[in-house]
Amino acid sequence: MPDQSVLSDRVKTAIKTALATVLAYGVALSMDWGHAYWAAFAVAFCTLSTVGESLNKGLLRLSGTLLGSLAAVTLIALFPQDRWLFLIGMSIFTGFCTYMMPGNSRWYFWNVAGLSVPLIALAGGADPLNDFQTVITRSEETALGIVSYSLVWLLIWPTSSREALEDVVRQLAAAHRQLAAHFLTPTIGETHDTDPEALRRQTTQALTRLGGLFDGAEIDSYEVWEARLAWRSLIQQLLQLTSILERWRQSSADVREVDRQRLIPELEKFASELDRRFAEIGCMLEGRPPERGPISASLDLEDKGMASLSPFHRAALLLYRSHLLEIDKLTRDLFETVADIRNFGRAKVHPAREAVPLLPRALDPERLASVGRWFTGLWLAWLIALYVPDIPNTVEFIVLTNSLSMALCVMPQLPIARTLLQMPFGLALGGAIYVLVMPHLTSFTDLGVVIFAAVFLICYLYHRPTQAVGKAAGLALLAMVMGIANEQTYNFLDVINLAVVVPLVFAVLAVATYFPVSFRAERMFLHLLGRFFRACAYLASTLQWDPAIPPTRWQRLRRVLHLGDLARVPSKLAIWGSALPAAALGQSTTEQMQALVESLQALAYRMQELIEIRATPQSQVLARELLSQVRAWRVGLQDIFCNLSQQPEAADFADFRSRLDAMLERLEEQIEKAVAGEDQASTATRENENSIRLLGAFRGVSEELVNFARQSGGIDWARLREARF
Amino acid sequence: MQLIPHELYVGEVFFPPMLFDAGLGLVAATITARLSNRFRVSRYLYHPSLVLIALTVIYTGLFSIFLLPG
Repeated sequence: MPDQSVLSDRVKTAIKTALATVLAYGVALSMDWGHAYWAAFAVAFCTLSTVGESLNKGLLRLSGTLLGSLAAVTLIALFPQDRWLFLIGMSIFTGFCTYMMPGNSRWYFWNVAGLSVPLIALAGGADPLNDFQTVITRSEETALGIVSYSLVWLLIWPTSSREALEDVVRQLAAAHRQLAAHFLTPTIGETHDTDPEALRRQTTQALTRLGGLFDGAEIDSYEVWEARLAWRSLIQQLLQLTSILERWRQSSADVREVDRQRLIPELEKFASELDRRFAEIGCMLEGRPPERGPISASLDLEDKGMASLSPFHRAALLLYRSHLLEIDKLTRDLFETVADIRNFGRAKVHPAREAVPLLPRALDPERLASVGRWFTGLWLAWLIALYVPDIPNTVEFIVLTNSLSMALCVMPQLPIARTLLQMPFGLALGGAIYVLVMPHLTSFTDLGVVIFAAVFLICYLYHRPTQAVGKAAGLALLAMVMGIANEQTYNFLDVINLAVVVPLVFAVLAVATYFPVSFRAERMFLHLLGRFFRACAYLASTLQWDPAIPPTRWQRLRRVLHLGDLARVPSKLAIWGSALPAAALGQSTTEQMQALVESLQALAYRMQELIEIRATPQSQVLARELLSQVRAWRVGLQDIFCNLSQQPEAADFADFRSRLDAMLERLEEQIEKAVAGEDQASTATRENENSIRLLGAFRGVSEELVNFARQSGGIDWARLREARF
Repeated sequence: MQLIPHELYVGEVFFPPMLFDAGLGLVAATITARLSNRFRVSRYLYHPSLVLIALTVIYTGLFSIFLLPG
């Protein structure tokens, strides 16, 4: 075996995939199973960087195949003689599978279930009796592919998912430790030269990988499986911690001018305790027991100092402190969970169960648009196959269109032409081998070398994660064109027919990308931006609701949907923003676009805080005194949001800034008067604190709007809106 | 106009002229679209995607009449 350090991961993965493909072909041919390339498909589509991840994906493929086979056989049995009813039934099932794919960690199961139905129904040919045989062969070949690559992955350069998972968690703990230290720097007077932007990027990337790695590690490691509840809890806690650190970072900016060390006397102690907790978590993950458990650090505020602050600074400090308290709780839980995973005798931690409203996800417009795109693609392919005469290889045409339309639902932002560039390459390579090389081969050894070289080449050239769909499609076409069988036949028309099918598939996918919903990055970006501000406008209007009168069911439903938009749209904007072409960016840069999206994420957090604080009991005295001012503020915000939902470019930084400053000045005076009118005992009540926090939340939203206006000034909106081919 | 249809062949494989016309039409329409984007002419169009399809059909028709008649 060659020295491991000599070969890069890219070469190793390509070698392993090529070997597994040869092995799968070898076994399928020696067993004389039909459709040997289906085993190669399983290898091409399921191989990932670690054994566990690959095995997990393989099992999802197998179980998806079984569900799809069951659905296909049922539909054939129900509608053996009725083409249209069969197509409608199939569309309903496949449409449901497509709908289940986005935002689901087990999306591949639904993908395979959906693509298996037309494949099995059509591959059986005109005789329905063949369908059962097709189902059996498909399942056998898929299982063979999974066994082949599992064997190769286990024996050659094995990479354990557990180690990869632990590495990622360690990286996350280290990144959070550095981020916490960085944001506490101005408070405790230390210096850190780490780049917070790089750390935040690293955190986001690590969190994206965490779910898949855990699914894989659960399968290939008994230790992870045994502690799976704790691991799930850990992932949940890490997600929550990342979110709260981000909010804390934003609230830190509001208290920049406040002497935090004086007002929170134990802040320095808390900072060092936080640092120690993260360090201990890292040590525990490396297998070393902790020196001691988490220690409490009081975050009580200094009363006299607080009284001397302006109301808005007081509100900002209260918010800052509430974030610190949440960080304290989460890091404590994280510590206990890691200790539980490592068996260091800590108390068992129950997995965090967060109640996520299902409706906003179920009615997500982008998800429904993805189903619309798939539906257009599939039915266009069906109608072309049925009504355009002499379309070659209709089975491959429909199956490829369906599979690729479904695959694009997971990453709708990928441009088709660039993503699927590997398909013509796979076709050309496979065609050349089929016509020029294969007729001269005499044994499986020769064939094995050729398969190895071709698969290695595709895997080596297209190794980036963004090329995964195209690589798999390229490998699939290679296998389809070569059509390897024990009784090998050669027909140049097979290659030509497939070569005609590929542009047809491209054409259908291109049409489905623009009709009925346009998936152009700039269109999606503007559409999402409008939706975000519409959600903000509606949620701002809910602030006037009287807590004594419960909202109607319709109002509650709308609120839940808009809150869902508020939570999800900024991350979608980040994805579509990064997919914007240079022509749409015009004079603006990717960094400016990223800054704009970050300002929207901050605005979303501030809106969520405003809604949460509004739900708490408020001081009647302050509410009465400030009624007209707060109402004017809310109406002003609503107007701005409504306007921005139509024209985001209308955000005027200077105008917003001056309006906010004038509002703050007016309110500060009035709050001081209102508070002075109350006796000192009552000002310390929780209701008063909530009211001050509510005003602080209003200010937070307004400040983020001002920030959005500043970022918006750098965007070339005219180019972004411009019609383009 | 030539009334007898003629075929194109590469090696011993015959291809219909319409296939080449359609291919050339698509290439010509794509080039036109790129140039329109480059010189920002496309902003005056209501629905550029539809225009691209229309251009492909027009170019294919023109090529099938004047360049490679079927």
